[in-house]
Amino acid sequence: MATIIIDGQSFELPEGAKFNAIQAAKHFGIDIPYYCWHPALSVVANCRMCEIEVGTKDPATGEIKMLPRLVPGCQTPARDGTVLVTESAKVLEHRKNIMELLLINHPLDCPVCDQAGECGLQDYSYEHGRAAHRFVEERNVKPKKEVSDLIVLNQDRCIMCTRCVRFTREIPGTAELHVMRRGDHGEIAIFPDQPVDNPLAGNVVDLCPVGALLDKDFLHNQRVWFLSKHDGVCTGCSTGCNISVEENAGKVWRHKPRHNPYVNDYWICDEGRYGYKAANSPTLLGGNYVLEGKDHHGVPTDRFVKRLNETLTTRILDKQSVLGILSPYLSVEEAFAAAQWLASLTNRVELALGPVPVRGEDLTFAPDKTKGRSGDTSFIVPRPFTISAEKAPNRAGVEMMLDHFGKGAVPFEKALESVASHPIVIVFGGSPDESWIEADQVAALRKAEVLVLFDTTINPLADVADFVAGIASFAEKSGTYVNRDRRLQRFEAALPPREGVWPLLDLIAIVSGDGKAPIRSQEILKAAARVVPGLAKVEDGLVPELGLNLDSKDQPIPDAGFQDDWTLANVSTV
Amino acid sequence: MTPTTLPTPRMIPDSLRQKIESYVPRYPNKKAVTLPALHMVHSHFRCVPYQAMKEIAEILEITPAEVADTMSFYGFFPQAPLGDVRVWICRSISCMLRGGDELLEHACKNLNIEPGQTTADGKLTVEFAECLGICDHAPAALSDDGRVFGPLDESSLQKMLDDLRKGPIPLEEL
Amino acid sequence: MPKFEPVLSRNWNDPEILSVKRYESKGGYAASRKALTTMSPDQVVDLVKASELRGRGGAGFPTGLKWSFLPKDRKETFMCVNGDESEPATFNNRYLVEKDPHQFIEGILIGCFATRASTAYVYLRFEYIKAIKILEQAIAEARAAGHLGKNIYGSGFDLEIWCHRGAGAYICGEETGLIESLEGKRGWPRIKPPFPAIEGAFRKPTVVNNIETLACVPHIVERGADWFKSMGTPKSYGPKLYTISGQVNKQVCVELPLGVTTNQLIEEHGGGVWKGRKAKAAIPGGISMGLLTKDEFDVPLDFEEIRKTGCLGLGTAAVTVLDETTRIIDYLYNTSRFFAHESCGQCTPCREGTGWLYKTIKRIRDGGGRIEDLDLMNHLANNMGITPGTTICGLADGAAWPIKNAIAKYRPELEQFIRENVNPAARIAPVQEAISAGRSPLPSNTSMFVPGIGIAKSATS
Ligand SMILES: Cc1cc2nc3c(=O)[nH]c(=O)nc-3n(C[C@H](O)[C@H](O)[C@H](O)COP(=O)(O)O)c2cc1C
Ligand code: SF4
Ligand code: SF4
Ligand code: FES
Repeated sequence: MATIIIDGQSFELPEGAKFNAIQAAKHFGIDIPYYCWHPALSVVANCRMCEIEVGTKDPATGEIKMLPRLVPGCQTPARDGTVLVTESAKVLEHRKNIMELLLINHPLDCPVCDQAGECGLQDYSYEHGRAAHRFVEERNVKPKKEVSDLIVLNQDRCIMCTRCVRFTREIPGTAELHVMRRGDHGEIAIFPDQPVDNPLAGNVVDLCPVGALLDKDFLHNQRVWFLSKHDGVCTGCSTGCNISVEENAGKVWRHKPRHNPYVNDYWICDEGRYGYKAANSPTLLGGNYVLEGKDHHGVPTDRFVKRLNETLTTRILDKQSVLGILSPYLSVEEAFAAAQWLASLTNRVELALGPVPVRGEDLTFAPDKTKGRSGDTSFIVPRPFTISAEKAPNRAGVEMMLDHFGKGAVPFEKALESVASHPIVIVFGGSPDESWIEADQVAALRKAEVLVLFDTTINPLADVADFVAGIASFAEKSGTYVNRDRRLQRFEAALPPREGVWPLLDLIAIVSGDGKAPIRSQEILKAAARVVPGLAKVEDGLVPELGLNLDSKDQPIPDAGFQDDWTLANVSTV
Repeated sequence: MTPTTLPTPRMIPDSLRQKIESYVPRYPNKKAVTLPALHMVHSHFRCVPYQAMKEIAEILEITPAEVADTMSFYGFFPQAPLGDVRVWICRSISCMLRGGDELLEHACKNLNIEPGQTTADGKLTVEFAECLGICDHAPAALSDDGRVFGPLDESSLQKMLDDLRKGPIPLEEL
Repeated sequence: MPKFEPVLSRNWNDPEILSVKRYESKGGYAASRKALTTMSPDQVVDLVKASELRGRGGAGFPTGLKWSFLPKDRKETFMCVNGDESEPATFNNRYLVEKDPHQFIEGILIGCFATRASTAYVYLRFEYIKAIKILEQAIAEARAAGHLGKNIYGSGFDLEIWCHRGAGAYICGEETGLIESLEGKRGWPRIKPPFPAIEGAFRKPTVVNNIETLACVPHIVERGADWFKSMGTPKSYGPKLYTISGQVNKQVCVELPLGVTTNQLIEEHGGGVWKGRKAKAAIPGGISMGLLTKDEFDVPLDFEEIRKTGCLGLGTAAVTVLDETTRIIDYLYNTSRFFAHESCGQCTPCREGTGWLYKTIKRIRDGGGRIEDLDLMNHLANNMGITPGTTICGLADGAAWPIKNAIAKYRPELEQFIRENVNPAARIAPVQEAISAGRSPLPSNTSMFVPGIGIAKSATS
């Protein structure tokens, strides 16, 4: 067992952990401030914020020998016998010095800076800064520039930590950002006409510890302390990146990545990042509609349910069969509830999978340690990041339900052929994209005598369906998805359901008349786990924070969970 | 801000490209040829235009931003076009102690330029430099054809400027 | 003491020595032949260890010891020869290359053999245009004569030497800055560990040595460790090239045993202080080192003694003389301007500190100084560098040393200067004074600043 001594206290390092001093201290609840270091990037030790006193304890004599000078925690390995002192007068004085140095050329413009509230400089200033300013010279003036259509760089706020530059070189490998000039005239820059336009570009904004790199899409939209953050899972592809869905006043304002070393590490792709816009789309269905003649009429939910049930009951008594289509955008719980309801209607039911959008090929960014800056790379665990070609979050989860309730995952194209033998077609959609279905597919489905659609957007199928129920969008529902690696991941609703619209789980409970809304998705998951063999691992309905691989046991990742404090600043309660 | 897609004609001539490529075997990777390539391009064009940086990047299989990163770090590669001769007047300690700062000022005043600028006739660029390693000639100056001047005073400075305006000398004569 | 016979400079008055033939005819390349054909690499390392040769590049690290740090099981090794020579007032490496290139090449050859490096890169600053030309020609001749290339002297040892030009950055003299620059990047020094001996150029074990260090090696091989140790002072053995410049009559590069004094250099080799003046102070080895006062001119200029004067060390043994009329503030202005210009900008204390110190010193020099500025400067200087542990490389120490050293040794003069030189135009801007005093520079109704930090929290929440 490896023992490390921090501020006089002994701690046992977890098995297999390759920690530096910052990670080790954090693991035991002790914060060492830092800027330039990032757990997924090469170590450069240039900001010098993380300096501490370091020594070693002789295992034989128990004698502690301290190094005479300060040492950056980011470049100090935590080994058996390592001694760290993080709170000595020398260390505290040093932090004051660094804060002062970082601020001498920094503008005093927090009131207009978007980063305020989640800024590493602001946070540490309070904790570690000096009360009085000693700098009385003229400040260096540096420009504001655009590094892409979406990202602006306020050079005067930059602290030259080079996280952004290292990111573009080490993770996507596109190396669009560079350092220009040297000394205190240094700047971050792009080559003229070569913007940062890799699929992971937006991450440089999250990485930037200060308000230098900012997302123009979010710029001056919201002060971050008004945002409430909700743990979400991106629905953009089957990777299922963990995201924070950040909302205020009934609107989602942005997606930010949430760290999950098994899935997306610290990153999300730009498509997922800007996928939040669909949550605020004006084309979301605003209620329930019944087709009368050529026009859809909005009806209150109770009347809608009554009419739907009357129609279904009559026809089913008539021995008409049902074709149910479950889209890969449904959560596990929605798919379970939907399939269960359909199965309860009649035994003449066929279940199929909705269209699974596929675009291009899987795109994997496998960071190569040797591409980073030379130096100590022993703390970095390069984890590949994949953008999946399959552009839906839960094909795997929906297929489990189809396997359980039906005859497996009947593909959509096949289902279309069997519309003729099923007078009743019930479609569960949920894609944020209005064009999820094509005109010929709509035409094929419309051949049904009764076409029922549960969906989120006004789309070509909604235009023709007999019954159209608006349901909660991806941002308005809670539940779980199963990603491409068969990892079950939980997500929370960020917004309440839109006015006049129910979450699908509640709507099904009402339609089937056997539940009392509101329904908790966790209860449905529990119920599903009791009957669906693949879900046996979650019989208590509880999904661990980093998700759960349904097939195999996860290798433990000791460095999991490390995230920059300032991005976590929970200011929503202010 | 979309990347320029217009095909631009190549500016680095084949002979120069081959010269750059001939340096590749000297190093374990191509990127290490960046500095030699910048020097070669600089001596050919007497500056390193953006287009040339792009082409260097292409030859060495790195991104133009990486070339710019390296290039901008060093004091040698000018952004503005240079005169026929470039002269550095040293301002570091040994030269300063013997009047280097004043000589620089004097030279610039004489030529009616600021340090870093080129005379109107395009013949001469005058820059300051930190120690040139020729302190045995302090206060000293170095022209980019390799000539060393000093110890300078106002009159020998004038003579130097007159000499330099006649143009560079070939390396063989050094 | 027997009369000192020049070693490194013995051929300097022979212009023909640039040719390989001439160099051979004077016994050149005998040492390399001896090493390659009669010794093992480890024997050469041991010999150099025994000679107690210390690096001439500035840090004075024992050369043999450095070579022995290379991992035993290494496959590929690189030699980087440090000819960046950018420490102000230093020019001895230039003399070595321009005046006797084959001695230097022979040194590289033996050094590479000892460290089993089959590629050597000579990193020369671009300003040494003539030296580069001479060296490239000499390398070509040495190659043609069989001193370089494949299977040298039938020993089975191969070596190629490539000249790599710098491009104007002092920091590329720092060994890991040099390696980064060699790799085609900006010359940003790397964190250590790993040291170059373990992971250096192209991530391979690498030795970085100064030109003069390597030039000593053939002589050690030829004449033995005891001979080498017969010169110099304890722990500082061998011959050394000293340069003398600044306010003296003759600015020269001379070879002497380690441990001569500043007085000897000025009087015997520099022709005395110029203009009939007296000396005030001298820089012992490049501006990073600080100042020797006139009273310290008898201290031996070697690796050990000079530290006792509060100077950083011997540095490059480039002695620069300040005469009695020179103001310390001008000296500080010059050194701080240099370091602000040359800081690579990686480490916060060095990037911001060098700029801050330069601006402050400039303001003082312009007549806007305050006595408390000296304390502020001292505080900043004491907290930057690898000495307190706050930077990656030693440039910051070099930037700080002249300042804290001058404040320690010349505080009365600096205070007097501040008191007597008051220029209203150079005074601190009122807005800066207000911020510094913790008052908002804005009218009170727009104030959103927390005193001293200038960051709004309450106003925005
Ligand atoms: C800022 C800085 C600049 C340096 N410049 C040089 C230089 O120009 N030439 C040199 O040989 N060593 C220079 N050094 C020292 C090198 O880092 C290194 O110690 C030396 O090249 C090792 O060679 P040696 O052991 O033969 O002395 C510099 C060090 C620092 C910190
Ligand atoms: S822009 Fe941000 S991430 Fe990039 S170097 Fe500056 S502070 Fe660091
Ligand atoms: S100490 Fe200064 S020169 Fe050295 S690496 Fe840090 S910033 Fe660069
Ligand atoms: S985090 Fe360690 S030096 Fe920046």
